[in-house]
Amino acid sequence: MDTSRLFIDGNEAVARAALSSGCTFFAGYPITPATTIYQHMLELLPPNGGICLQGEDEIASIGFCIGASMAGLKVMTATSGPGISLFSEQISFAIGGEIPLVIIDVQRLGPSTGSATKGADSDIQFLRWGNSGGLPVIVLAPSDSADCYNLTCHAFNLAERYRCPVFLASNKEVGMTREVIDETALAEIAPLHRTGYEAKDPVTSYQPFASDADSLVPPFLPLGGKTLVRQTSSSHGPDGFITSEPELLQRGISRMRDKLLEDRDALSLHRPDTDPGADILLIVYGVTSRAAKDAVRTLRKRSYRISLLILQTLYPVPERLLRKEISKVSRVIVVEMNLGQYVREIERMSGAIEVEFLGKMNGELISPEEIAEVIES
Amino acid sequence: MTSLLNPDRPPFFCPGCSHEIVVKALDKSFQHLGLSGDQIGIVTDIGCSGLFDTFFTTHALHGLHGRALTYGTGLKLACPELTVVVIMGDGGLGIGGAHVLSSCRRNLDLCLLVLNNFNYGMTGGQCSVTTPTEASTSSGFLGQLEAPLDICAVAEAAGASWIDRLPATAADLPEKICQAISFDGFSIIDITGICPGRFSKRNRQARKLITSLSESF
Repeated sequence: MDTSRLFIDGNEAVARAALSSGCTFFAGYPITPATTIYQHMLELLPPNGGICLQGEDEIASIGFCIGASMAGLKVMTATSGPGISLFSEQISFAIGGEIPLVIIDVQRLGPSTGSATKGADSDIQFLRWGNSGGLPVIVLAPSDSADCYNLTCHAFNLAERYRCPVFLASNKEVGMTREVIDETALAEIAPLHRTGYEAKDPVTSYQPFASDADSLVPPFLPLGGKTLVRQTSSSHGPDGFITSEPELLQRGISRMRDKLLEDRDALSLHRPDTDPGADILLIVYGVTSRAAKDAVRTLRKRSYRISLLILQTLYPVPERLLRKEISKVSRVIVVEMNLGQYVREIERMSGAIEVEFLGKMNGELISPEEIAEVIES
Repeated sequence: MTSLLNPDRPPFFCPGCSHEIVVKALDKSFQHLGLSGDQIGIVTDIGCSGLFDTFFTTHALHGLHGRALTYGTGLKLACPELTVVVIMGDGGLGIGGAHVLSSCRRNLDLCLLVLNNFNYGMTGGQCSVTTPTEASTSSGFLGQLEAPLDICAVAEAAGASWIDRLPATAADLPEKICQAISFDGFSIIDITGICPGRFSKRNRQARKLITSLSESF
């Protein structure tokens, strides 16, 4: 057997990437189609000295992760739409408490319990806006097993760098489709570690939410060491004590927004397939990008001038990139496995151009033929 | 050993509140055990008992309502050498019931102090899972519809191996807390107390109730 080739699905790729990123703590709750991530973590973590456990529910699973992350471990949890619903209050805590966390959402067809074994990109806006407070988050969307591996590595690094939860918006079709991938397709992404903090006075000197002049991200210090650390889900000042002082509150909340939005260009991962003479731009993400590639190939053979933009970073919205690419064409088409969620972000960037949309939510993949038909109509 | 109370942030409960007695008892327990602030993680819930972490110079994690045990679990697993004390009220006990049951079954070395004052004090005295049926609360007749929960009986059924109940005013509270913290496994103490701001105003029998509950344990 050729050892440079792997036959794995997206969920296994996520688990392998977590391990290679230095993840030592996983907690989950069984839910189709995310369960196999938990199963793989259970196989991978304990033999490597890590911790894996099953919570009594999703709220507990992510709560365990929050506790372990505060102690300095790299943590991950995985679920699907109904679990994201239960995570919601804890996600808000992780955002407001600036707690690094990797959350895998293997999306299935909603609403509610929906269809456990049918894929959809049901949760895109939910991931963005599912926190009380409406603060920005990072959402990455993989299209295949290799992408699951690479973007999970990125997710761990981004969680560390920005002290925030990072979502991988996977999909049942990506997570549970086993495919051959070449190991060379797996990027060498060096694991980042949280910026440490050296305290002078062990009791009072560490300000858990104070950023310095160089960065909007406060240095992280694990809870449990010699220097005392405070964490709180309540509105706080730099010292981690509850406050109602308007200026402190606004400064802290604006900083948490700006630490992500000011870096939105740097955070943008995307795969362009540009035709310099194109008058049509097709924008996709996730598993739909595979059908889109096929459709673009066919359309180019039929002499269409068309560019394809595959987004891997959905949030923060890569506004500059979108504006630039949209300005080059006269037609913009967005395709996604829902009733039209991310298309709203494209519409914000499209100016006078009317954005065409193809969406489907019947549990089936969108085919290359359906995409080509819309473009040819 | 020196006190671990934060001199800059003294307790500020209603006059006569049992919570203040528990703050002092907990500080005494830490001193008896010879623990320094960096050896302790206080995890708190929501409500008046959720203020506890601010009164101590220890590691502190204050989180969402009912979820304190979930953070305590992750923290203890990641940091086994840390003494983790989880503090919640009877409100947290109700909303986070599944976590209490699972913590009893999981038997990690956590100490849970339930500051049970039979009502939601901070939000205006609504009924909780421990409110006696005969008590008057701002929930009106709703408080009479559901039977009160005996957390010690529930913890026992869920397999907890250290269960205790005593009033906040008990002279041996610091000693009992010491024993619970020292126990190598999950320990739970139901600390019954007076909520003068809300509960005992409407329920003059509150003290009697606390005494009878402790005697029946």
